[in-house]
Amino acid sequence: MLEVSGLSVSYGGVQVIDDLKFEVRPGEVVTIIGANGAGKTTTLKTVTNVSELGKSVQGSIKFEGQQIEKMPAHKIARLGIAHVPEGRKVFPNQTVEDNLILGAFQHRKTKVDKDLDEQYERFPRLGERKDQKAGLLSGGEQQMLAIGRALMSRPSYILFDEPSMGLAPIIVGQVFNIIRTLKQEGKTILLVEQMAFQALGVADRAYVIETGRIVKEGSGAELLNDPAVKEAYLGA
Amino acid sequence: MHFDPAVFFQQIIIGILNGSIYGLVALGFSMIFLTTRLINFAQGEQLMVGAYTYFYLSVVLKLPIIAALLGAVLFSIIVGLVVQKLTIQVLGKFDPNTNIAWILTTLAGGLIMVDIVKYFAGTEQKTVRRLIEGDAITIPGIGAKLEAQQLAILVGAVVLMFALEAVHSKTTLGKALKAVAHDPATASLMGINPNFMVLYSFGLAGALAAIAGFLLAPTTFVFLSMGTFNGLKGFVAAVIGGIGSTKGALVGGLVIGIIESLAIFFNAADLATAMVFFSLVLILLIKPQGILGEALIEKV
Amino acid sequence: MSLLHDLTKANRAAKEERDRRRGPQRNKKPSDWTEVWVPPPGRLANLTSAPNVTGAVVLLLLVLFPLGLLPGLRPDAFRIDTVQVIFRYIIVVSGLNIIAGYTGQLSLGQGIFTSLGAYTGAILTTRAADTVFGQPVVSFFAAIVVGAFVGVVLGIPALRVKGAFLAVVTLAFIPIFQTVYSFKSFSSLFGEQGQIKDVPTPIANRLGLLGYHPTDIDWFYVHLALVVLLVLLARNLVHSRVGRGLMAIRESEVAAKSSGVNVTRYKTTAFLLASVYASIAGVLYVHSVGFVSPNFPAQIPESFKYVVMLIVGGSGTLLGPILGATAIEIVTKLINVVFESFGKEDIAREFAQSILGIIAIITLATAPGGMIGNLQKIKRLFGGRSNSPPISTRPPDSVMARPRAFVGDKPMPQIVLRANAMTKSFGGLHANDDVSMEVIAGSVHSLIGPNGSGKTTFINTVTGIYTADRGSIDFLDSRCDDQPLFANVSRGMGRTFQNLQLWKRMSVVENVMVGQHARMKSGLFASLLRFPSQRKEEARVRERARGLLFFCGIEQYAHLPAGQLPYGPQRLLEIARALALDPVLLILDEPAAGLNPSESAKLTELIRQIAQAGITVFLIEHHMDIVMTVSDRVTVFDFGQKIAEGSPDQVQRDPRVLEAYLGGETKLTHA
Repeated sequence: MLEVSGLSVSYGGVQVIDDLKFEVRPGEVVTIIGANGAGKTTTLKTVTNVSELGKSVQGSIKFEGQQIEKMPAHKIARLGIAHVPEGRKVFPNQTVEDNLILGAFQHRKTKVDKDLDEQYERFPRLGERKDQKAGLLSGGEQQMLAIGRALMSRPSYILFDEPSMGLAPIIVGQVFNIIRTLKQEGKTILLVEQMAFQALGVADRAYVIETGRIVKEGSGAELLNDPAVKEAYLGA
Repeated sequence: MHFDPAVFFQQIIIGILNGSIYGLVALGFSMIFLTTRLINFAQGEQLMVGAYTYFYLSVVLKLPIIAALLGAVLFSIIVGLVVQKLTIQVLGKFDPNTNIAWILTTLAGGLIMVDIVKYFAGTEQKTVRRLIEGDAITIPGIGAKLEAQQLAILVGAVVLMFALEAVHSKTTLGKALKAVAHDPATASLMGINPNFMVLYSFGLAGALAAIAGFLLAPTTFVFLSMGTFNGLKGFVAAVIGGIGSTKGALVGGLVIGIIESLAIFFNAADLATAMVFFSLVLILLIKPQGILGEALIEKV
Repeated sequence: MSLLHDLTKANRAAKEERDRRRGPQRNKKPSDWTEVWVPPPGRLANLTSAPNVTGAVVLLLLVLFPLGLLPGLRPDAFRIDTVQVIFRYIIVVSGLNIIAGYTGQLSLGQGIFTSLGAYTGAILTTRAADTVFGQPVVSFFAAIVVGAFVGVVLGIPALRVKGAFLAVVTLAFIPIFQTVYSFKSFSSLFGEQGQIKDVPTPIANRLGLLGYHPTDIDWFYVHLALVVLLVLLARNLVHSRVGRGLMAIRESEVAAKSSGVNVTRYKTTAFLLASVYASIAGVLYVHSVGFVSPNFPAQIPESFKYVVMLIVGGSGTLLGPILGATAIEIVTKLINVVFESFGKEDIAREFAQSILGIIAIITLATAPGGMIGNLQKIKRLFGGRSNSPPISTRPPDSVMARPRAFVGDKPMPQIVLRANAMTKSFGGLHANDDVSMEVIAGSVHSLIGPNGSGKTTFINTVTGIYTADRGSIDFLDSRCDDQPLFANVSRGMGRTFQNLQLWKRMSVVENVMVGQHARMKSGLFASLLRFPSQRKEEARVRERARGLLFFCGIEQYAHLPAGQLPYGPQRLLEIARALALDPVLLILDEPAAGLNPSESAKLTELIRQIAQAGITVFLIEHHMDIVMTVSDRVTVFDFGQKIAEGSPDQVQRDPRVLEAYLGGETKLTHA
């Protein structure tokens, strides 16, 4: 279980996250929806402790009973938490296959061929282009690569940061289908999204974040039918 | 002017020899650049410190060559790590492209090393033993002479470079180095410790600098400004060959080694250094990414 | 769509009502950019607009002045000399500040230019003493010419690289010059081993002009006059079209180009100015000490010292060089005195470089803003007023606030932009394949398509970042894809960037002022000398900038550094900046990316108003609601090819579009 409580984050004196509290239980798909600048990306980056300039953090983050708020990012990754970052962040000058291998960095002393085959099966397009530089892939393909790369670490928890960002609608649909599949495979998922409609559609539980605070929580279906949420995030 | 092929090829051999050493220095620059996007301006001075350490261990303490070399390499690795801590890490987190403070701090690190060595070792040149005794053999056909020591230096430098290249292109460690180079934050999400990779590259560059100093010592002298000059030449070699590329480092090193030799052959020894740096200007005008440098993919 | 618009409006009204009832709150965070939100001063304090700089310069010089010449006391040669040294450093470092501080291009080879000034002065006044060139005034100007010339010759190749590469290249020039100075064959020019002794100085009383021999006090005044002149010229430059162009290069080169700044020429100009400043200091140097050699001042540690002075004082600020040069020189002297009192002056000498190096490391690690940065911090600590002028509440002149299209003398053609069977490929992959299209004057024309379908490549080819492999693109009936970016911009091609490219350390209003770069005339000399025409232009441009901010609804942020703006207003600032160009064609690259629905609605309205002003809009956007509302025509790309074109209705019904892009049943409003 991932438990966040009393989390406050500020950058250079400007507070962006204010006393945040949420939890993700094993096997769940939890989504945090909110407008741009509400603090969604910051929340994920704080959970996995991605190094950032001028950031100060207070509060508690617990994973499987262990305090992880002070743990460096690479150690958190080795606990089985994978983070698919905003904007995909593939390594553009390295090949598709090398990107995937890097995802399995923590398992480098064992064979990863099976994991590779698994990703190529899941994303045939990656298999076709495995020797190409990742920077030459289209946006949608890069998103598949970023997801594949995260899966290579054999995670139990996967954190998605706006996987729909900058993608054409048809690709967005594909991305959400992948998330559904992962849910069926039993992965625990924390999804941060601006596209509230799709995100609430896959989520077991959801939180609405506004200017760094959680203003609403409930099941995905509940929030989908909540008039206030509808008005603010679903464009009515 | 009378053209003497034996003298000409003799100069070319010396050029190749020096070039392979410049290649090692260039590789040190490349290593650090690759992982951190930084250029360690203290790199050349580390070569000087390595050479002085080797001199001290082998001539003053009379240790065997191998022991003295290992000592110098070890010491230089430590110096490399100290440089990283005191000139880079001390700056905190920063973006190397927009905040160029590290140029000044690493340069300052180099200047401090010169002062310290000067204080302890004085300003006069030092001489070290030859690596391998033995008569030079005359290469049939061209009449140039090659000493066993020269051959050893050349083979040593080239083998070392290719061994490193092989290690880095085949292993996950090498891929992780490249990933950290591009985006340390995202690399850390893969379970890679970016700080370790940075320290690794500084340590490795320190070792390469000491080896280059060790290889230069028997053929030139050990002197204070050897760091600045060979450091700059190594950097020119890295840029000419394409910074970040191992083969490029070797090619760049050989190019400037041979340019220097030709300058000497054509009686312009005084201008040899100027010509090397002038070639830097030329390559920037013609092909700024270097001969073997790959244009990095960046979105406009 | 209009339903959505009304709802968000209602939503906002309700929210405003809530806020009013709650009353003013502390730490209120922005949820919407329509609220005035002024963040606390952070690290990005506006360093460029220090209005009282003239007063501060005078004050500082008044402090330095008596150090050299205490009124009523007999001048002390040692003190005069110390202050003169400081003055020379102020000159070199002020020049270095132009290229390194304001333009962001660090040169580690400034010692070369000091040495060039020194050698020019030395050679002319010793070897040509009997001719007109041997006259000190003539040799002074000769040094400026030499500095400028060599500055351009070295600057052009060196400035092809940036950052650390530029630093090493300029560093590598130093040994080249050292070897040239001491080269045997040149000894008739540069002296035996490059050493020229017995250069006339005021002390030796041989430095004369038309029979008048200056005293050392006169010489001090010469130094003083030059420092004041050169510092004021630097100030004029910074607050001018040219200076803002330089700062724009520092913050984002591609954005500078897109506002019509000729980046190569501007960088070279800045390099030239820095060289001239250093040469002037070099001439003063050689006539002060009477000697020059290849080892000084063309030396790495000396060049390093200049940079340390700059960063210790505060790089990119006008006072930085003055404070830095003074502080470093005095601290160095003090350290010598301290070591001397312990009888260890040799250690201070031996470790002179190290001391400088340690000062540099400590400054950069603890106070990256230098002394100026700390002064500003202290000022804030004591609640002092910030440097930003107060925000004006007066609404701007409506004429100034109206966007307009600039076509020059020519009549506006029917077709603004035309692609003629244009192909652009990368490594065999056709990013744009045989694309033909026309953008009609005055229309809003949208380009949509899946990611990787070639939209960005198309814009980059239109603006001239890429050149078409086959076919061509015409802008206003003449080819544009083979022209440099800034040239297309000058002809009226404005653009915004998908990944914001604002000049973060410059104020919002300055950002829009740079946007008008291509519509301004003041050149280097007008800027340096503040011609009356230049002042008038400045005032007009500032007023117009305010007007455009008003038009885009972000005038309340005018004096904040752009980097401190919330996200939404940053996007709008990009548009205001592009409008400042008076563009014929405005290219908007995903302007709604990351905006919330209410912000998007506002943007839609803004695009409409821009089109009403007669500006042709070319829109690249994923948000289908915006595209389908504002567009007159829509072009659809897929795999680099144009697959459909027509009115929004036609395109939405086109089966190929639905299949490739919209994915059949996906609801358009959520796209």
